[in-house]
Amino acid sequence: MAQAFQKIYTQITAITKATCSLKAEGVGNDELALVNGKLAQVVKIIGDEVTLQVFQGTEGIPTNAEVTFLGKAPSLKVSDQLAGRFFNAYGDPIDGGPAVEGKEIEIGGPSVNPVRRKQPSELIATGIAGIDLNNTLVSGQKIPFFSDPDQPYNQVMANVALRAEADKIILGGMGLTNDDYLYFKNVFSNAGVLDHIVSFVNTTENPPVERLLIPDMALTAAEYFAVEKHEKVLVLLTDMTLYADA
Amino acid sequence: MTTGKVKGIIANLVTIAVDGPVAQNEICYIYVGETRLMAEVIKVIGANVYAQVFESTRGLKVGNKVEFTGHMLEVTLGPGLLSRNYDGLQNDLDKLTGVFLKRGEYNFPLDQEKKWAFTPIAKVGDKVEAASWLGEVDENHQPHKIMVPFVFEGTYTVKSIAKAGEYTINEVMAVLTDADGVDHEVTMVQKWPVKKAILAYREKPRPFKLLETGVRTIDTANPLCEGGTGFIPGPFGTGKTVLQHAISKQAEADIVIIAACGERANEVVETFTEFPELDDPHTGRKLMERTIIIANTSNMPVASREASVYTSMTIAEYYRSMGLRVLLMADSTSRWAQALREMSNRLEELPGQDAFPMDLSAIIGAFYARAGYVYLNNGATGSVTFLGTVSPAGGNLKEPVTEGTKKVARCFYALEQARADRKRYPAVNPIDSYSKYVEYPEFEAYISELIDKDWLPMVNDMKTYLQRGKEIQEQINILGDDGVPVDYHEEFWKAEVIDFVILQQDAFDKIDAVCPLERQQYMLRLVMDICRHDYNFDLFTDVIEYFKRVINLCKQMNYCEFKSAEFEDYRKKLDELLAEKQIKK
Repeated sequence: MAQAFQKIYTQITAITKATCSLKAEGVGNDELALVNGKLAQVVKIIGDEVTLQVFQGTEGIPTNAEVTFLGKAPSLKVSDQLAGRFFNAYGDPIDGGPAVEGKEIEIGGPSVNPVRRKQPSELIATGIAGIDLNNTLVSGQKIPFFSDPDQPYNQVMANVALRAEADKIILGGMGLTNDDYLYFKNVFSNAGVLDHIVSFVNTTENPPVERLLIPDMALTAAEYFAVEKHEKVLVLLTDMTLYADA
Repeated sequence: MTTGKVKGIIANLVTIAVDGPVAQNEICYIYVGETRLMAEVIKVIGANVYAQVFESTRGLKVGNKVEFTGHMLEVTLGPGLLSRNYDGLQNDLDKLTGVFLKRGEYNFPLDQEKKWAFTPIAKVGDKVEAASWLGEVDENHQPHKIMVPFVFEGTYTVKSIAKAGEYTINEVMAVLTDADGVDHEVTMVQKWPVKKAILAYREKPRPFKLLETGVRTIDTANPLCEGGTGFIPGPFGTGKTVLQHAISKQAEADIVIIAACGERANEVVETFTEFPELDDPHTGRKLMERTIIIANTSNMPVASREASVYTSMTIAEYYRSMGLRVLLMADSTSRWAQALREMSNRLEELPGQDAFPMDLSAIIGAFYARAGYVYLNNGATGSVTFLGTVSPAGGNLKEPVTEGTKKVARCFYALEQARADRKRYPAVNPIDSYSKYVEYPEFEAYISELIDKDWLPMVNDMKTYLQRGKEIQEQINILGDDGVPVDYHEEFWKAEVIDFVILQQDAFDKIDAVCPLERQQYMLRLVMDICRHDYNFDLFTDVIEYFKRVINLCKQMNYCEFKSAEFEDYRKKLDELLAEKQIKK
């Protein structure tokens, strides 16, 4: 991703488990950087000392690592092509398909003006009696699932995703085991509903810090479909405990 | 003006090197390209200034330009505040374009085009001081006084005053001459720093006047006073929002200000959509006409949460200076405290309990102290009643925010999960809740005058019955229904009658939702009369069956129009039923 005439820094002054610091100038807050090819984000600037959070962890980063700043915040390319695809925390495809073309939107963007919101009132039918009858899911509302680790919460989520009458379903998987990821993938492909599901997945094999990007990625995609395409979007995030752990 | 350059950035805390004088809490604007981000100075060390930015600092770079404004965070006060929806920095949310909030978009909170019908109050030659009333405009049927700006010090003489007529807010309404003979022009608009209390009143007595809310569990059991302070700890799903809405709808206040501080956006939207539809039970007009909403929802920037509570309090004080009764509801102060904690941690201050700043209870105390009932300089009265909610993490009432609030708030309405689970709404626990005002002799005198001398003793008696009922319930749970004397069952069911008839109230029933004081008095007398009698029972099963019928009849009365034929009919049936078993005294 490095471009011509870009300044490359090679003097890292401090390294911790998830961050590294270096002297650099003209860097913006929240900007992305590459440290020896690993993606990192600016979290702190004091004078000319910049601290970067390295998403994959700092294992193996030497003090003379090559650091380039990308001059932009984490972003996602959005378009209809997102549908039916699986992405990692950076918005890159992990299902072996081609990269997505589209408009680039910064993630974690501005919040919705509360006076422009509508009161949630429309039912999203999930087809699960325990949810629809007792504790109805309403479009525009958010509901947490509380679960013990030994409960089949991912199955329930997959069921909700399959049955819910929404135009698009965005699944943000944080700290899923590889098996669970493959489970979701299989269930969706077998049911033939892949075309209205977008998944952002961070498995336990990936570094935990990357999970921090998942909800923002998922919600950016959701906002794109909801605001620009006027579709009903259901976002499922699993599981927030592992997100908080990161 | 002082300018500066950005030196360091940690999330929304920015270090700035300045070239001139700066004041603590001064407002500055930080440039990110073309956008200006508002920030507030919170610490100064040498030439380094620490400022908290009210918005996202994404893309901010070292070396960016900073401009200081020379004043603290201010609100603009003038006619046209009512029925608006503001954010924490007093930007009019309805004027902002687009679905999303754009960073660095600020606007003027009032309507500068609208003409207001002005009637002068002061005359040429009058001696006036800060907050003296110069004239009046009609704002949504409220007499909105045009006052001498609060920043004016000393006495002034009115040199000229505008004639009755229609003016916009920026036109000069009066010219005042100060002691040195210098003329000052006064418009309808003035500014005031939010962190300073408006002290332009003569005296602030202890609150003594009952603020009627129409909610029996508040007015009867633990009354809230005009100018008083109260708080509601709200565990999830206990009906906190319904209770708050009920109070804001029915309370005898001229102005209602709702500060949604860090609340979920959907709940705020509920207020936005419901209030313009609801009728004000006192005037018959729309509720929104007397309401101002300050919304800083959980997804909006954290730093402006603090600003939002101060902004709402300042607006409340402004209306109080006009001699109006203001009710301010803040939901929730815990989220404000969380914002304080976040900043304190970033500043690397010495942390107090649960990492909250050391002076948290002082901050909360100072804020609650701004509420109150006041005698203005011209003898009129006004009040700011403040009702805050706290959302203690994990329902733990020993955490610092609740503790700090408990010290300063005089009323406490303990919303309780267990009560809510049993569908006894409003889920206010009658035994844990308290109102310190009932202990004030001033209040006692007032309520004796308003209702009757025996009112407070009767309410205390009621609480004794409730307490006793609770004790007996525990004993019955241990010993079993037939393990206790029949009297015990009788006592327990008397407490249940009080609970079902007085404490529980149906917020969704048109008639039961609002219970005027006269009716509360009638019902309490009725219920206490039932409780004070002895009954003739042989079996505990008879007790249960009998009192269930009593409760049913009383509840039917609650649902009927007061003193209607139907109401009297139920009363007659009730009297007949009581005569069956009551032992004559």
